[in-house]
Amino acid sequence: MADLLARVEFMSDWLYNGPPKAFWLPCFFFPQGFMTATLQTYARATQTAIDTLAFRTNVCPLMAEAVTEGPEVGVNLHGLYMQGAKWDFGKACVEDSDPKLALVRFPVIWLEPFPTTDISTEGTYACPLYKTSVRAGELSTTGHSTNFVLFLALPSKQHGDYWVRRGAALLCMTDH
Amino acid sequence: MARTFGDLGEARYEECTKPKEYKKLVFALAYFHAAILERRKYGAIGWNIAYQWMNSDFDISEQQLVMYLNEQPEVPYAALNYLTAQVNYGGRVTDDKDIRLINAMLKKYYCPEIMNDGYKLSKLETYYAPPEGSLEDTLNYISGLPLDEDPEVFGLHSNANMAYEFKLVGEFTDAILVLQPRVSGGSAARTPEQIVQAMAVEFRETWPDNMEPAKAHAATFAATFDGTMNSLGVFVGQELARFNKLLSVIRKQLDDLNAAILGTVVMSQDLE
Repeated sequence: MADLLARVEFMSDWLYNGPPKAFWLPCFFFPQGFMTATLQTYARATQTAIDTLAFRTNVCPLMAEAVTEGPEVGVNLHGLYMQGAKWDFGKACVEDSDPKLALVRFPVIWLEPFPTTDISTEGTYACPLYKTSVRAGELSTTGHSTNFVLFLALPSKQHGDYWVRRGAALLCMTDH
Repeated sequence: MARTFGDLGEARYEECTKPKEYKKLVFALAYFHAAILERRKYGAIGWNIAYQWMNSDFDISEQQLVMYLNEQPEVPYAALNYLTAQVNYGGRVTDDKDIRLINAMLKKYYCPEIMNDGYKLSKLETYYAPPEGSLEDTLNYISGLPLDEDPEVFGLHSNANMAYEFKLVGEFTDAILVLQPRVSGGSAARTPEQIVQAMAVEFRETWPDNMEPAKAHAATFAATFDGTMNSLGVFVGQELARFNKLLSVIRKQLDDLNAAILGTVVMSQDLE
């Protein structure tokens, strides 16, 4: 109940005070739509075809409370959790979880629209973002499961397969 | 794993024309088979969907392994990986992220490094494909493995055990809660109706009003240069509509519930 009220407050703030500096992604019913809208905004502004664009993932070294500026292009996201791995602020990459901390808050992510062909996936793990910890969902018309939002390329020292076997993923909410 | 090798039999184990390659790879395959089955107990961190793999998946993969080893001069790792992970076992996998996982799992075991006796199948020291030997040697090695596995055996972090334990405890406490009596005694105690009504009244009083797009900030629905609404504006409009619908439904239900407890409307199945 408190969670629903917090969501209503976020939406009211956006409505009455204009777009926020960082978006609370888990608030939305349909986060996939938010991603498309963000890309489309950029595509229209730069007169490029939307299907040649994707997001470049930039993990910011701060949590949502510390965000003071919105990015010039793209959006800041916050409110995500990571399971099966953690973000190492010192090394600025994905690392193994600390013992007994299975689910940790993830820092703010700046999603920057970028031509798909110019995005390097070298040294990254394509980390899936799911809405809930169930992860499985219905297969939708986009060919993905309804629980799946998108892949985010996170910097990693290990080969991506290592994190695939770890079951590392970003989630929009915890179970509690 | 012991059963897998037991089913295989002595004759089959010695039959291949490349004994070293076969013994190493069939061990890798058996390990893979066991690991993907065991991963299911960790819930979503193991697999998005729990698949029903069977011994027939192992059998066909083993037969292909023998065939490819006998017919080809080199070990065709790429072909074996594809056939086993993508076709045989992968035929059951419907989630695209699970396909990615099953390929990554097998790649760790079906690889040229496995011919090296020092190659470890996980981060732990205990698990490796034993040096070439008889079926009995292999079975002895397997029976010497620990009974209580670390999730690390399957490529998972030790924290994955927490997910498994939470699931177990959750089922246990749910079972206990079902056994609890529904009402507590004493004349001072409130009836369930009174409790529910007090909650409904409290929620109703603090319940937020629907959000009004008409009073929006100028930037929220700002038009772009060609006069159409900006994409995020369209998106926030759709989300707001959903929120308002949800707020209205709950508000109506709270009102109905109050009225039903007071006896002014009929208690429907939904309200109950």
